[in-house]
Amino acid sequence: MLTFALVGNPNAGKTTLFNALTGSTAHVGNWPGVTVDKRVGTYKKSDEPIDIVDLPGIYSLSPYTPEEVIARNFILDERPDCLINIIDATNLERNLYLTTQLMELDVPMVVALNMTDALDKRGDHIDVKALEKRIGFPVAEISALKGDNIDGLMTRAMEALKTPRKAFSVLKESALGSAISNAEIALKLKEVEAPLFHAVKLVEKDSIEVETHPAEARAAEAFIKENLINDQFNGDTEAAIADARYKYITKYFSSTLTRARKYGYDELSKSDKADKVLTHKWAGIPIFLMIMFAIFHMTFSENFLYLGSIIPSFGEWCAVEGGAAKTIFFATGLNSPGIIFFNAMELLTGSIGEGLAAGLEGLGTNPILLSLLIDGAWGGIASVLSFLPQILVLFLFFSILEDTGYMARVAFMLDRIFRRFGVSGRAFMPMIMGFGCSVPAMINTRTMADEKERQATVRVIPFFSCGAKLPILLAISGAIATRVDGLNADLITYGMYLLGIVVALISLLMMRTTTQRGEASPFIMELPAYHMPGFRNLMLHLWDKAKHFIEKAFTIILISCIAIWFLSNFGWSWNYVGEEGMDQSILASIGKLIQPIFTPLGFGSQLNENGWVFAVAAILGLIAKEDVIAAFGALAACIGGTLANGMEEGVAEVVLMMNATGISNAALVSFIAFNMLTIPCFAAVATARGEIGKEKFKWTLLFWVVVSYLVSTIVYTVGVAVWMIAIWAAAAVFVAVGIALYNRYMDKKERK
Amino acid sequence: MKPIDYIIIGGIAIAVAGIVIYLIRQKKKGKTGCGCGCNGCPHADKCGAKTDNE
Amino acid sequence: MKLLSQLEIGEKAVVKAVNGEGAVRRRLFDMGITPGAEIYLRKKAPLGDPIEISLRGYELTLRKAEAANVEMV
Repeated sequence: MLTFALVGNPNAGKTTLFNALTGSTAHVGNWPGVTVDKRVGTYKKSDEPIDIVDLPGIYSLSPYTPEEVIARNFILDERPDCLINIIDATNLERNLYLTTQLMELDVPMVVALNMTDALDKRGDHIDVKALEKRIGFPVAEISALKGDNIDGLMTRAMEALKTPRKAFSVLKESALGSAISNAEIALKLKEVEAPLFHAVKLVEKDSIEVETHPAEARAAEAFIKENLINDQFNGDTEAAIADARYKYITKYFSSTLTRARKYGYDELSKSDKADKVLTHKWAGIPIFLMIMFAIFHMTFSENFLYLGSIIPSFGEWCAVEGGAAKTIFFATGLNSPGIIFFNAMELLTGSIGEGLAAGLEGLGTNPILLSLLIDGAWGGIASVLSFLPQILVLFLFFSILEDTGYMARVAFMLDRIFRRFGVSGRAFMPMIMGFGCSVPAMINTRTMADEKERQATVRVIPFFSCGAKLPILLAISGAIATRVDGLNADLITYGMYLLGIVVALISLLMMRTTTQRGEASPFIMELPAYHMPGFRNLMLHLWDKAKHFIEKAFTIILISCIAIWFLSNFGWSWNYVGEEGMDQSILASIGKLIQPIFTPLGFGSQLNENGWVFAVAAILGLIAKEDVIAAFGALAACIGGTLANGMEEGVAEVVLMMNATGISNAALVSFIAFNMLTIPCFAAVATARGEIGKEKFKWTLLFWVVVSYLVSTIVYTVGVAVWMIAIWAAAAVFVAVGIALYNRYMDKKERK
Repeated sequence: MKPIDYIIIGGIAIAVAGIVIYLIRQKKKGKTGCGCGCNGCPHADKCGAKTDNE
Repeated sequence: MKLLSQLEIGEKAVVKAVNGEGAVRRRLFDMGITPGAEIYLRKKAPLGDPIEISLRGYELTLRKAEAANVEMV
């Protein structure tokens, strides 16, 4: 089978073209460097299917970043049949810089000139025929987004296959030409494949190349010393080569581009106008914070736009009971979209449960089985499912911000702050992605250049509370709000998100000054133009997310719920103990065994005889975070008491647990903190292991346990007795001074 | 025990067995519960294509 | 001698030389910051650093620390 490889700059539309070619629904973000590993798909519209490999976006074939090495090794070792070099027409010069390097390989190649429609809109024009003639291989104008001329591109590629292409270097006419030719001849004698490419890299003193061909490298260096030491670059070939490439591009290629006006200097594009406001000197960061607040408000608030508070009579009207339809839309004011969907979903799951129960009872089902089905299985699933709409709403907003290109600006604005904590603005993207799911977020850290910085970032990603942890936050915050007057559930939720971020930043700072010592890595990043996110693309993201969540609810969570029901309804001798004898159940005895561990955190031995449920829930969270609330759902019916009417799904169960165990508010907050910060779910743990490596992974696990235990203890003790702040502050000062001294010592040592 | 009870017990047993087999299969394919390798995750492409290559 | 990091907002200048070493220097070259390239300082981040520049028809952001490697004419 033929293999074609897609190569191009980050953000040139590579992933979009890949999707258009292979029909894949892979994710596309407006952020330089979304694809960090190679992906394979199949193009099926030709006579024989063709494998399309999507290589990471790169600016150059230098040996410095992992993506560049991945792409380079793939092209050299796997020898694809054809290279498809995708070029962003609105950014011609820099995109062609990579092309001049790819030309030096003797692999057939076509150029896919993307985004010419955006160029036309500016009034600029590229003479494609002239460009094709000067580059020396086919150039096809395409629109990856609209899918225009994709098949035309593939036809050109198939034609290119038939005539073998000779490697060509734009450097041959520069001062380095003879040095390159000499090295090429030497490599040809050694029967090296792609001699021209390797020759250029040798002259460039590329570290990978110098290692593989030391003798030729010495010869090239001697030649340069003799002949080129006195030129403008003083024998600095890396600079000379980059310079020569750009000079060649401006001389021969850029002249095919006619600009309607000098863009970017005198006149502002739409994107620039948007940037004027969004990254404004004073307003930029406040606007970002407001956008974040608005997103959370749209997702979690029961008092949308504070209408209920602004218009008191409306608020009073809302608070009056008024049937199922009214409670969906109004609580203390108008509900936010997130809450409306949540209520609708809850009504649905609730009715299904009731219908199921009534039907089965009518058929005369055994009460034990009825309890298993309704309380155990469905109760657990329903309490988790009701949160799906809010997770989707939150996710939709983040997807929009990512696709428009705004996130890249936020990295630009916040880099200065992030640097104080020892990471570059690049770390911002994976962190925000962590609010969706830790797994892809951890993988996205691969765009970061510095390994120690990357590992530190992977470790703190779980602190950015993911979608699966949202039900824990919402249910428990809701329950706390029922006990404390004037405290909003959404305020507690924001607070917990903030706590996660603060803990993440402090941990980063501590790691980067001790075990993962180092300065923030350089930050040189392209700012892509803003564009409207595609509706279809957004809906695909949402659908994928929903599908995954539902799949999880009906597989791993369903199994967990059934297991919990069995373990909490049966004793060690497989005797049915039922609701009254739950104290004697297997789960209770295991829970009581581990319960003391959580005493400093407030949900251990100080609770009454039912207190083990919190210990059990915390442990179950290690399987999947949704299990924490699912466990409450499954256990609620057993632990005694009836669910309060008119209370939300999930919240009602926690209120029941609260009353049955006598847990304090401080301990509840500490319980959220523990679940949020401790070892994440199986999937995230496995990913972290892959990203960090075996040796450091052990410490990562320990790090998560220690951080969650410590932070929860602080939360609980301070919640119980405010003066404890003084003790913790003293401890913090002690640690900070210790780290500062250690750093001074290490700095001195390094300077020596 | 009524007939309905047998049906429910059978149903639960089949469902549990089915889910466990499904989960084990996913695991064997190298697909974890979330994210990597599974198409369910919107960011799945970031995980690379190791599974497609095999 | 003026450095890229010392440009004022709205100022235009041409690159004379790129100092520094290793990956950072190479990345600056790869992004098109080579001798002779015309650079326009578009804006500074709200906290004064990093900076946003226009060159070769696109926008690039970099920190002042990295920009200090670039000598301008």
